[in-house]
Amino acid sequence: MAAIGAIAPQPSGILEGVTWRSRGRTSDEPLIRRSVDDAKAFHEFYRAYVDRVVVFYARRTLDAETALDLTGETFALALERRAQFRGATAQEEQGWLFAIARNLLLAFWKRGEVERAALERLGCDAPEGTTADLEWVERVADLPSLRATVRSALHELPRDQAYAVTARVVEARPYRDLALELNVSEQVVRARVSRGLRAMAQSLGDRAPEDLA
Amino acid sequence: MSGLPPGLDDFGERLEQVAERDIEGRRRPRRRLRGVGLPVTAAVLAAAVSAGAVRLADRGDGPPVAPERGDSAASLQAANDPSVVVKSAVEDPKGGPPWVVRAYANADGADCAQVGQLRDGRLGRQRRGEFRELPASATGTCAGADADEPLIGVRHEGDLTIVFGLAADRDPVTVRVGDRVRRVRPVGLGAFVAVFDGGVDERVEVRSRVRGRETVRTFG
Repeated sequence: MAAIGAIAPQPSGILEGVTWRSRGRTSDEPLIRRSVDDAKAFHEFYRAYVDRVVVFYARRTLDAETALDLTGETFALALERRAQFRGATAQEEQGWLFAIARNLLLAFWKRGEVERAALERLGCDAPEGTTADLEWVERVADLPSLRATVRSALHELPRDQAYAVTARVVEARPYRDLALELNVSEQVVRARVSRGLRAMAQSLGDRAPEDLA
Repeated sequence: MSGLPPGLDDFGERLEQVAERDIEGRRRPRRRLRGVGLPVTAAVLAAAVSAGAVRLADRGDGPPVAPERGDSAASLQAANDPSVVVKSAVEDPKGGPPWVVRAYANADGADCAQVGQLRDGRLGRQRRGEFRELPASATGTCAGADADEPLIGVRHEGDLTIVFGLAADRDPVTVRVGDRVRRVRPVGLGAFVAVFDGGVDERVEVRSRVRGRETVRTFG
């Protein structure tokens, strides 16, 4: 179910992604800059953003455990690269963090697996997916409702598009296999997936990222 | 932190610890955070591990193997993964499953050691009473190019300090964390592990022998 979440709408009040919120910060000084020489500042940075990063991933993957794993790698990369941050404001800091998150998400969609290289370099495991954590992610990202919405949009598609989207995006089957099975060219399968995703995005009030098809 | 579930809360604390070690390491650049080295038996070990041919006596086939100290891990069973060296088991100071070393060769043929807790034949980690098996993608500490050094790793789990690795010789390995010293005898494939309650901020020193010559590695 990895990529369908990517075309889901982002209800206001739940996911801002790259929209700046001060979140009680009293200073505009980037925490990530301070964290280069102050470990507690990195912990503060983590606490300031972790919920939004988790929701960012959860609503795009529809999977709480994947969201936790991606979140872990995101903050591990942020920790590794914190000295490279060149911004001057907290808003730029947030943009920097979500740029890392977007890149990891694209890599996840392309490869179908969560990158763990930074966590491994740091000798640090990803966040534990305890029952409490998974339930928390489901709740804050409103995943049950989102899944129902996406399922409904999928059912509204013509059968050939729905099949192509499900086989390609949900089951991650190669275009070549689908083309052989359906006795059509790969181009045709790609077109069905693309049209299906666009239709779903329209139905959901958002646009599908081109990377999906 | 209030408001976050336990896994995410723990993760934030672990990141802070990593950041602390990173900052400390930059202040004292000659000290290394993680030790890697190639055991002298590299060729034999790599071939044995990659072929899944860890000695049966070491992987603990047959009756459960008692951990090295204490009896809190009476339920220790042979690992499902044959590369887990069950005889390396030591008890968990917090009363959790015993800690063991998994010895394997990575895709490049380098020797690697991974540490974890063994429960019901599965290698994983227990946190806040919940045991979670390590994913297949999880990796350990792998050997570098220096053939004259043992493979040693140091991990911090909560307030535990875990020192583990693959020793080149079978002579006891002396592990010092702060002012506490423990001597551990390497078992199959040279695997050893020592677990200390606390010591997260303390210097770790590991003395072992490579072809009879003593080597000393320090961390943190």
